[in-house]
Amino acid sequence: MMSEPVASHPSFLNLNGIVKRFGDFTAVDGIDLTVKQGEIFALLGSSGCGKSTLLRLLGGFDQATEGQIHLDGECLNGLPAEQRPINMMFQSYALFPHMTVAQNLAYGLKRAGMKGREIAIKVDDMLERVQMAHLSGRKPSQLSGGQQQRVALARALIKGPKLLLLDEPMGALDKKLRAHMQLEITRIIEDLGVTCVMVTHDQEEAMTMADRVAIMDAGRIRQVGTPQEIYEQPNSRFVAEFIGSVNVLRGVVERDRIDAVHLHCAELSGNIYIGHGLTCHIGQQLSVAIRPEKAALSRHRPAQSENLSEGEIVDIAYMGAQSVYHVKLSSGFVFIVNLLNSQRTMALPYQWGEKVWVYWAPDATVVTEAQ
Amino acid sequence: MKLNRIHWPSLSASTMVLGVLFLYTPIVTLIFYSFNGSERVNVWSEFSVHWYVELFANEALMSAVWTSLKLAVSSATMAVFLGTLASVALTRCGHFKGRYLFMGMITAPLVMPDVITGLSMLLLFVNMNELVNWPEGRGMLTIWIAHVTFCMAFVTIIISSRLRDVDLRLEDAARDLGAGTLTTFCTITLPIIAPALIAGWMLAFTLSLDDLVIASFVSGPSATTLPMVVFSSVRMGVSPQINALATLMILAVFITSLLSYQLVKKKAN
Amino acid sequence: MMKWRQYVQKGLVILPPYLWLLVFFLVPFLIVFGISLTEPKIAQPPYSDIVTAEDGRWNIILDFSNYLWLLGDELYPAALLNSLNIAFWSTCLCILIGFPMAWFIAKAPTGRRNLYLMLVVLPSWTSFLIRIYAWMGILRSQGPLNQCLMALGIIDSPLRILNTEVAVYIGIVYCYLPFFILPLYSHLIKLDGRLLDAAADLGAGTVTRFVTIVLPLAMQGVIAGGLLVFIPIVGEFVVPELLGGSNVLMIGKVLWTEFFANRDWPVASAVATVLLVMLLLPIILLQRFQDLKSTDQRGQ
Repeated sequence: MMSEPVASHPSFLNLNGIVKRFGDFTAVDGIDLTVKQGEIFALLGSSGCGKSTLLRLLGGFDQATEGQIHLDGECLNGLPAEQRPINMMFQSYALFPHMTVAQNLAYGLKRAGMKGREIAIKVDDMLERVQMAHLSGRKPSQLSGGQQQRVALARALIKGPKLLLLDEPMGALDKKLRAHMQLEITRIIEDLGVTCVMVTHDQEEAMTMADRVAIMDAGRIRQVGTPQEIYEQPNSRFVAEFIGSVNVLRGVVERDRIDAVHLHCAELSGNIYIGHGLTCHIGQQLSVAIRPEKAALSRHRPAQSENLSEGEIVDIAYMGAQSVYHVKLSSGFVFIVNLLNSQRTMALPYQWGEKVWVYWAPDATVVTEAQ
Repeated sequence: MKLNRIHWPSLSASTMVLGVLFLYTPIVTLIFYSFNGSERVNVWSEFSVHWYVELFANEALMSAVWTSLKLAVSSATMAVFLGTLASVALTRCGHFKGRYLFMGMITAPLVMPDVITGLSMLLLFVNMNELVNWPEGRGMLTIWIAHVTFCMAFVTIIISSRLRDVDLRLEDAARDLGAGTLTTFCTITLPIIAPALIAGWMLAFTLSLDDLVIASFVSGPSATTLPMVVFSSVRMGVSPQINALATLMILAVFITSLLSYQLVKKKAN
Repeated sequence: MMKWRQYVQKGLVILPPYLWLLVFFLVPFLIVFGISLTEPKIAQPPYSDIVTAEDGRWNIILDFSNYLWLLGDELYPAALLNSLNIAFWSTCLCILIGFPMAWFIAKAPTGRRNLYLMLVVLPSWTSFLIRIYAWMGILRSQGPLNQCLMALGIIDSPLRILNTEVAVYIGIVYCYLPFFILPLYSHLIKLDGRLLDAAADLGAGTVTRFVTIVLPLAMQGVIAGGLLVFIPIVGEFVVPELLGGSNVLMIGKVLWTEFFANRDWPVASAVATVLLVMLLLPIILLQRFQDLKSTDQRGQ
């Protein structure tokens, strides 16, 4: 097969109609994706959604049943893992237990036929970069989780791969270290300017580290975009519910203007007012998503006639920085509202069982699924 | 219910103590009587190393020891080689034609009564000798082949269970860093499973050293192994030389296990 | 898409052990079966040919008289039954003694498990033959066991233990006990101790916990370990020969005698074939209970 000229690939990594089947089971079901040079790209999804299979296809550990993978203009189809200019940081790191840190790093260089002095210089340089030079003689079992991760990253970067793959990079770390290492790893990757595809089930991790995120479900990609786009403009109810928590209401279009739409919503026992135009028709059913932090509470009826409902607080979860209020509307629908605990006080502003009004601004709503 | 108040831990602990006593009593008596000066085996007269001196003077026995050691080393080595290949075939090669038959041929020798294995091997060698004139006669070579065959099964069980525990991501990582299949196996998998290879070799070594029945069937006049000599002298009646030999073997086993135990402990720390 | 190189690599891995086992393990059984259908002859080798060529025609002579002979003589069925009987009861003894021991080791503190395990396995690293020989010394009428019992005043005159079935049971359990404990231990070690705590928390007493939690979960290990000792005991030769004397009849001994003393290869082959057929079912069962079946990680 002739590889197509570079010019036709404005993108660095290009996946074209990738399908992977295991017997009757289709793990990856027709994926098209482009990743730009120097970008950190995250595949986000729950377990079994096909993201790890896709990563293994990229790494060359498995071969796709259908479709093409191009990297920097070269077709990777049929190339085994050992011949791809791609390196991976494995889940739980897969550091060779019988080798020291330095030997782990040297392993890939040796395979490339490099000689002793050259290897030593490169290894020292890379260890310096990940701040592990002082532990080069240790075995992996003598390192902490964070240190193991640095070594794993260094080992994956030392051959200067065109593409770096990260498989659940923070999976083995505790929460506190996770936040630190997310920034640290991003810094190292961006310093080197290497293109990176990562797989994670942790949305916080994907949003902190990645420039763009793809939400995967059942072997397909549901949405690709920057973290903000995915969060604020989910294109489906699935994505809206997958990322963060969300209140999803159903409404019927009552009035359709150029710059606004009015929906009748049974759950609110009132109307929803959307502050921008939509392509829809009267009588159509729509799903409307409102993020809990975009809604507010009030003891008195707010001065707006739409986007509000009265209810009773049935549950309060105090979470430190914020509190989550579950408000049961008269229709029975439980609406979730997040409020920041900005005041340092023991008493919460609203109490269990209190009657309150839930309301939100016209631009806080996202129409997710026109049905 | 009264039955429900049985203190299970103390029941298992006392069984353990009795069980270990049961396992070690014969060994202790062997050592004890090996230093007995009396001709009569069960009467203690005085401390003596007389039987050790006689043991080393017994040329037939000493040459049998040598034969058995040579056989044990060579068949254990071959069994580990073939057993490693078999383990890789079972754990890394996916499905292949005749995999079930292969698994059967690995499991069956573990439990096959020695008399059956011995007889069938002998008949094979007799027939092969008639058909292809190989192996010529019976002796070291035929015993070696028989020992490799049944030791290989044990070795395969040990190595394949270790291979199954190796994190496959380690092998993926090696490939990812540019190592081919063979390089990955030699630089990553083999060092990690090395303890299993050693354990397998040692087990094969003892199995070969211990085998009486199969060797009796397939050996010829040219090769007499240690168990064959021990068996014929034991059949004649109790011989105190055997006590001395047993004590030396026990000593060797205990020293080896103590060393390897220390080695494992040191490595773990 | 699999390249030819991978095929070659796979072949180089699979073929050597496969062919070795085919030629040196499987084919011999076919030969044994073949020879069991011949007549004994005073010749080298001492049996008649199955296939003879006469006037350019191939004649195949199958002689089932050996099997009829086995059935007709009461010695062989009796030996076979007795072997199965001894194997069954000594397996039960192994389970009875071995289960608590394996349990004790599995429940010991992590640091001591290996030590206990070594304690149990160590004797089996020393020669099997020599340990049986040691029992000959212990069990004889003037041996230490009788001396001890008499000194303690439990018995007046020495018991006759050697050359009885009791001695055979002692020897067999002694030799096979570690081989039962080892696989069972590896099963018990995987049993989550919290399950027992949970059962106790829900009100189960010791025996109830054992019957409802431990036994069902350890069953596979007990069966695998039991088969692992039962099958070879059926064909055991050394123990009945040395400890049972002429009083204990076992099929392994019969086969040995037919072959070495009577030099009747066809009858010995017929005995081996019958024994093998009897053991085929337990061997297949064992294979199902062994871990080996769940082997391949890379296969789908």
